[in-house]
Amino acid sequence: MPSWKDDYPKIETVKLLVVGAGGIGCELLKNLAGTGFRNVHVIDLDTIDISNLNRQFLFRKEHVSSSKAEIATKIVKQFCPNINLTYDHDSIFESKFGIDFFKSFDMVLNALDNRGARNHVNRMCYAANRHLIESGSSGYFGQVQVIMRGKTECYECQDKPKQKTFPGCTIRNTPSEHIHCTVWAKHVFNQLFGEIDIDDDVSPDMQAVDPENPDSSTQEEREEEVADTPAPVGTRQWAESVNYDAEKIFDKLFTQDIVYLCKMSHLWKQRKQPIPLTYASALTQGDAYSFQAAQNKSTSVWTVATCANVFATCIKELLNELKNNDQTPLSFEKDHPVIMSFVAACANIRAHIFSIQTKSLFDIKAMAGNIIPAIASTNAIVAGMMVTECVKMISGQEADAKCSFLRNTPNPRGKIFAEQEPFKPNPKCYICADVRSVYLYVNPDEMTVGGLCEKVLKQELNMIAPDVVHGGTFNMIISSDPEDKMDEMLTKKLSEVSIDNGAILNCDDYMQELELKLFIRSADHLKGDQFEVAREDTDDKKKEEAAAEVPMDVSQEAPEAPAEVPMDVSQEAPEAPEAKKRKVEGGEQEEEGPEAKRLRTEEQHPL
Amino acid sequence: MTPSTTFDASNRYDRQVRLWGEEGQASIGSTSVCVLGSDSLATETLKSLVLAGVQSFFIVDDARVEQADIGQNFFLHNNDIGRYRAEATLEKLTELNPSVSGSSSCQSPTALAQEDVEKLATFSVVVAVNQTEEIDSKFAEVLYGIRVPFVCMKSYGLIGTIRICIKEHTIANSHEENPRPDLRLDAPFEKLKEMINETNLEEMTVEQLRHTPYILLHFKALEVYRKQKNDPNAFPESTNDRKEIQKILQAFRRSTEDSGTKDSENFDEARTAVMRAFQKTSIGGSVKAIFASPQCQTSTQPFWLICEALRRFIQSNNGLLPLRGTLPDMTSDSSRYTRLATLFHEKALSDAKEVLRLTREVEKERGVGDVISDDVCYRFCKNADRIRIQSSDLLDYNRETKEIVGKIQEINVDDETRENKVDSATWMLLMRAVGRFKREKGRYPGTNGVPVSIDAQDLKKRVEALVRESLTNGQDITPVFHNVTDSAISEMCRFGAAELHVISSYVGGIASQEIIKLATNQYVPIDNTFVFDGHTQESSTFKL
Repeated sequence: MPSWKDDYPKIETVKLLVVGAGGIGCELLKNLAGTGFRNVHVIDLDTIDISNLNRQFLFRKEHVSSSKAEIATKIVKQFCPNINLTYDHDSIFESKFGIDFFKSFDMVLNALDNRGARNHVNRMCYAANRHLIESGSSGYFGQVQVIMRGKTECYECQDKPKQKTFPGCTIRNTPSEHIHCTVWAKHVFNQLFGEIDIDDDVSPDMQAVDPENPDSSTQEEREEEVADTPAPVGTRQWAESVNYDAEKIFDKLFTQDIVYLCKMSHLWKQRKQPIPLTYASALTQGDAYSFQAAQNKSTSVWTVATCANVFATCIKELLNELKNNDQTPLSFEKDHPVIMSFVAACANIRAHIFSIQTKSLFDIKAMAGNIIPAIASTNAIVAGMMVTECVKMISGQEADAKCSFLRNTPNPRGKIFAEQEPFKPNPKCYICADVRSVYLYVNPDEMTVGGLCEKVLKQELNMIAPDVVHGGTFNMIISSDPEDKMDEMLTKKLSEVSIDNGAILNCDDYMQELELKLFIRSADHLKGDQFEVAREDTDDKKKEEAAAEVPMDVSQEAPEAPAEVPMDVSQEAPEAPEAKKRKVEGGEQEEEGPEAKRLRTEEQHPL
Repeated sequence: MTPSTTFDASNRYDRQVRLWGEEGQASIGSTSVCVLGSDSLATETLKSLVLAGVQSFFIVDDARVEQADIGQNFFLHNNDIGRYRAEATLEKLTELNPSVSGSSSCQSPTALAQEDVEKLATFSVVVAVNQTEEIDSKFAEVLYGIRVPFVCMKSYGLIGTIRICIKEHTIANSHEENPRPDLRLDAPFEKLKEMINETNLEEMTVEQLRHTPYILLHFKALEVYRKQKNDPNAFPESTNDRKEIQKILQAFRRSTEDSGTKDSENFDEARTAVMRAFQKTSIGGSVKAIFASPQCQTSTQPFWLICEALRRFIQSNNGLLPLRGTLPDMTSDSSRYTRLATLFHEKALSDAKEVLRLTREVEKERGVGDVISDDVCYRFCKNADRIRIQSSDLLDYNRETKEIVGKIQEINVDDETRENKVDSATWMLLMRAVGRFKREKGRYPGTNGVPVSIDAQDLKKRVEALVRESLTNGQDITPVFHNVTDSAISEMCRFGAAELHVISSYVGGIASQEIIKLATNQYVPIDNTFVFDGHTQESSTFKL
């Protein structure tokens, strides 16, 4: 039975990289210092917010807006002067943190809050051949996963649950739940003050087919309904033309656009029609609190008048902010009181118009910010487990590595912890398998090369700077080198560059040292840049399943039915809205990734 | 733009209020904690409680900061050496959250237990950290009598233990995962009945049929089922009965003229949901036991006042709890889903109102004012099927050692496993042996420069003595002793009473988490003993 005493010389000399100085990061740095680790580097891009102070104990109120990595380093050194702790206040995606950088450490510990960065560090550790200790927490749930190249599964060996998305027409035309209004309000914010994305259009969409009643109208009928009305124009352009006059913007969004929507009568055959609302009449509906007063009522539901008031104040404030920052587009920030209040007011006014129950700022913030509850104690436990695993690794007890999972409540056997041996690598993983393949279902006549690059390779597959070569023609499709001047390519449809059903694309990310083959499968029902990715060819899979034809039995079914809801949904929020499922898919991506993923432990199964 | 100070607190606690709610935060905000001890484990436990925003904490310890503390306790500096440790840690902890007030006493915990039972009664929870068994027992007895929760915890080398001692702990919301949906298929309320009667599947268009929420399909299937059985009250009891319902549902499906397919999500959902949804609405055993408890009839505690009101409600409501009022996800057109959701919500509200009325009645009878707010009552009703009580026996080391020895007796593993992994019960026994070693020799094994091999012999003797005392006359001690390997005993001595920071961080994190569960009356705390083994990173929980 090895004891830690023999390991001190190693603990003192080993070099560790900690990615993230937030909730888990603060605890982790403390534990590393307290355990005797002396060479640690920490990277974090974030600055300190007041909502961090309930758990990120290295920070005080006077540190708000400072760099997390810098302050954490400073404070830990105050308490533990012997530690050689250094930091970077930077994004882990920066090219300076390349393979050689990762190789300069003996081990990497992740204390991150989003999947993109986790995927990236996973790949860098794989390429640099360094062990990675991955962590996550959500409310009372926490977990630690040890990742060793070739010995255990990597972070991306298994598909993670997808984030919930909504179709554009539900957002633009026919919201039926508050979340639709919240998503729309975030789009309005982006349209007015942020980076404009064509997917964020907020005006009525005449092309859209009613998702609930796809056969209820023809294209001609739809055109006829709105024939004598001018089509809605782009929001930003329009707002600029009226000098961001709050009342005019209000009346455009909530009167004119709604009137236009009402004309699309096919939408309202089975739905309650929205009721246009003017700024003037909104102000008469209930007490109108000021922006400041409304902040103190964050858990009660604002009146329509208060919403209108807050809407107007926020537009002025945000416009100023835009001016003070040389017109640099703002980005949605859930802890920014003005931005968040604007989104909440906007969402509630729209909800009111569509006869959807309005919600409090507090609740809307949870939806808009995809907020995951976070407490100090869980992070302390997680960081403790991480250091325990770390010591095991450096003392050569790799065979004893454990993945641990903390529950919110004891299981029927009274346990609040589940430990398990790490899983073996998935031979079909597109990151750590010998042959890395991904099947991409697209409509080659619709998707552009630009969409392939941004939406598929960067957003979905988390590549940083991909190079893509056509496996059949050996033509370069996408280049990471601006010198190659490939911009013209980006607007071309895939079929125009001979990417059709059956094509194979060789994708290579130099920074992540990741090469993978993308197998194109044509799916005609997909529109525009819509796509689906799979680790296996679904045709093959069906064949395999048919060949195997195992009789259904309960034990086989069990692993498919987790007893717990995936953490990716912020279901821990008190009074979390019960989301109704509609026939929806594609479209919207939420801002912040999940703080944690779920281990596939026995604990998940109904007992 | 930096937020102004007025909404400081709500921003500071935003991320945790989303876990335990405003009511949870309020409970934490009125919690006062007394901690006996001020070492690393005590500090780590308090750290998470102070961050969470308890009202106040009180540290009792007469120890002074020594060189050894600096390495283990992250918050202490070299220039703290020689100060009272309680004072030094108090200072660092209060910096973590300006809204929490802290105080300390530099007397030994023993003194407190003797002189001031009344003072102890003012705390919401008392925590003993790495105290001797005598102190643990003394406090346990006093606190058990006055119903103050007592948490007794230790960190010893790579081993950590937590024992929660509380006579009775009430849980207003266990947050049990995946509770069964409360759909009342066997007992629909009036408004729901009306909607079912208005629904006519045969007259619908295919589109309408395909957007009918599955709960309506279930009710319609039940109508057919009852006709088939010729029994207006028939309800599927067995899996086979439920399969019949699935067949009926299948027969409801229609194909469109053009596509000829029968794919539709709502029917798939209906089919899948049959097994879970077609269960008689009943009250679980643990909730029934609460209503049967004598406390229900007499107590003036808020929890019990509402429980009595609930009990009366059930009597006049055909044995049914108030409706939970939330509808699961289902594919549907908006109008019918919204209508159903509203019906459920309104019925839940009217049930809760009735419970509130009954609560006022009970309050009056028992001579207490309106202690239950409307909010509390509504929330209670919503989670009425998830209320729980936990009770445990008085901490008694002699009795518990017997139980531990009993557990070790049952261990049946091969030699290799035994060498590689020490069972948690064995660690518990070794912790007791160390306690006795300390009591008899005035020091911990492996300290004072005494070679580990010598202390190991002494510790082994104490293990033997404990086992002998625990077994009834004539029982063979070898099977038990076989499980307590020499290497485990030596490991205990090698620790030399050292406290490892990371173990303290971990065990302190768990302890504070459990204390918050106690303070908020939400979630189910550990019942009642937790053991962690840092060698394997494995933990276990058992009841002593």
